[in-house]
Amino acid sequence: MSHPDEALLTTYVDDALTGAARSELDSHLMRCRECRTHVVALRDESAFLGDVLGERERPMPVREAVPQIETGVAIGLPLAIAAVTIVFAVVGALLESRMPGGLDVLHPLRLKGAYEMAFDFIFFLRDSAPGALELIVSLGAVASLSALLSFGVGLVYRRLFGTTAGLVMAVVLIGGGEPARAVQLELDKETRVASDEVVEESMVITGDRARIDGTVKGDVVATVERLQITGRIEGNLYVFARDLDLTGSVGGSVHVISQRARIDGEIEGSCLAVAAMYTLTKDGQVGKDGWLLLAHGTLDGHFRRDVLIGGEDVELAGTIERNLDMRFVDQARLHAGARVGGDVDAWVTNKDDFEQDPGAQIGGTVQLHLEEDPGRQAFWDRVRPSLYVAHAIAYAASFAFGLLLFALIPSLFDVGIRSGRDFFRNLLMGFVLLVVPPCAIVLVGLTLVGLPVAVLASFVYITCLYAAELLVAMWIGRALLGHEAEASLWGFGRVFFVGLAIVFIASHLPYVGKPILLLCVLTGLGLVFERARRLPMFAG
Amino acid sequence: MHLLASACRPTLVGALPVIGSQPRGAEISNDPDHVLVRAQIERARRGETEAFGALFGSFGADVARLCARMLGSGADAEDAASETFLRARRAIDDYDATRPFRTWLLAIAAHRCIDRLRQRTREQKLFAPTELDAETLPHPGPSPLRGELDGERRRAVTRAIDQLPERYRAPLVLRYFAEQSYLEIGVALELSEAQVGMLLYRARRKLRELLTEGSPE
Repeated sequence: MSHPDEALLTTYVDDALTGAARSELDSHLMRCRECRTHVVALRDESAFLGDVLGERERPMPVREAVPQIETGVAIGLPLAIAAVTIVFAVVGALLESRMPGGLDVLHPLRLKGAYEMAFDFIFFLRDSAPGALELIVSLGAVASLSALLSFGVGLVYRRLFGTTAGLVMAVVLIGGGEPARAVQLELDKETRVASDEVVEESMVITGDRARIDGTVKGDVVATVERLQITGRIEGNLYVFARDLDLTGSVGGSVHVISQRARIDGEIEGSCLAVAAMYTLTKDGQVGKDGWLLLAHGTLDGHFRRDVLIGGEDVELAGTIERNLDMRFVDQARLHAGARVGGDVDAWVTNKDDFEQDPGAQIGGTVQLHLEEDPGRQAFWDRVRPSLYVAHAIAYAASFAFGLLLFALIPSLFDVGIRSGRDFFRNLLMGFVLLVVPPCAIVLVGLTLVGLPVAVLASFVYITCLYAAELLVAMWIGRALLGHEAEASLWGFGRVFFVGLAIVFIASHLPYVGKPILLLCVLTGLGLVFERARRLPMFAG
Repeated sequence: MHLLASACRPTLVGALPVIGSQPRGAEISNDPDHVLVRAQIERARRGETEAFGALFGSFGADVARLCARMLGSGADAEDAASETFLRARRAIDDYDATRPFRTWLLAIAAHRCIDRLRQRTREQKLFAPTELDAETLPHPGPSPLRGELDGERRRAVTRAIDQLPERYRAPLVLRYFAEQSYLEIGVALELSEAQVGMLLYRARRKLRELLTEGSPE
């Protein structure tokens, strides 16, 4: 099909084209960027005419579709980029080489400081503005979910076929909508299940404190400051709390994120814990595996299967019936009375970091994997060919994802930075976008209505982080090869390939790679924001 | 989750309803299910005069504007507007509640106006295709209109629309202000849908030409 004339496009824009003519034009538009642009212009004109005739206001100016680098102002842009890159690289490289002694807490990768800050911040917010916070969060949750859904429906509907997309969404809605009656909601400040009480259903608890002395037949999901369990939970336990005290028993597995977790009772399933301070007392028992990410761990109890630990400081005086695997541990001590049925594998920096009392029994072998000095290790890492194979695969995946995005939403890549000021604004916006969503997601997750939304939002956030890098790659490719090169998927692929390669190589350079990656993500998030602002729903 | 899902379903394709805002004709125009309008229509069907008053209050401005655009401001337009309301009141039982009320009302207004235009020119073939339409237009013409609508630009565009010949102006107003479909416009103007499309295309071209002549940008 050659380019359709404007009369036909006008009919199309006015929704008056039907049947074969419409589907033929649809498929042409999928392929032809030029006609798509024309359709958008005609649609704008229709809206414009409607506004003039209806004497409505039109305050938002319609922006040009693709921002391009302004050659005149662009002199400032390379300077700005160079300056920021150097600052990032120097600061990042300094950070990545060793931190000065005594300032360990400040290191962003250390667990301790980050934990306390996160917990304090969340509970402070909840305490100081309880009603307002929950209202805002639940309104935000409903709005974001409906926005996400309508965006998804719109996208799928336009690109695929109506009925199937509708069915898919219906299945998602029905499938995702578990019957609410099976869950007992507890929103009080203090929740208590008395010792003679039996709860037949699952419980979802939010509030300040909760105490379960009785029996719960289903699962327990709790976001509370302090949770105490002396009774019995037949299902699984999911906890987000500052303080967890378990002296009762749990029939399923325990999943806990908390500052302090003390397990004194019996867990029949596995125990998955992320905690600053984790204690499994002498009487504590875990029926299956332990997956623990800890700052301080004291394991005096009994694990019936394997244990995998990552953390700073681990003390073992109890029993592990199978293997013990310790990764990235600063200090590990196996005391007298400790018993490991299988092998012990420990990744430590120095030999002295692993201490084994002669009284500790180990059924299998002990293997210490000494981590080399980070600097030297970083060098040797880069000599291994397998690293480059992994990079090549990651590159291919990013490239394929970019092509897919372009095929689905070609206009997504219509972004650019025109001047140094633009660049700084993007950086700032990117920083806000990098920091705010995770906080918001945690807050949304705290309210009952927000749990599924928080999960969805996390996916969107991660996708945005990924897309951010791709947008930057496209922008770089375009700056080098020119805007005209990308008329088709093939042309786009060429420009994108070059841009992505540059981003990939730069972000994997020794020492300065990570700061450069951070810079890319910040800039890219700014670009994502710029692009989102031009969506019809925001552009009015 | 269940509760959440059902709460979100009605908002899938639109924005959340804005609580506390006053319903105005323009805002609720495309929502045939708007609670307030539906209730008023129900009451109007039962013959409540007040409900008619409220409906005309919401949509009167739009009807008046349509008549003024089609017939020019004057007694003729005012007559057409009041005729529209008389006709609507008599025909309210025929109103199909699945369609937006505004579109239905404006369709009545459009028919009134076109009758008057025909009487005015004493020529039935006002909108019939002529040789003029067969003539090919230069390609490419001026690019589509867009941009900010400040007072001056609005006046310029409005002036250009008023300068359009009636055969172009009527379909333009019916399509982009009254939001009628090609089929509905075709019925009113006694034309096929294809001919309506051609008239609209030419109307837009002519309008662009008038505006580029008026202000060389």
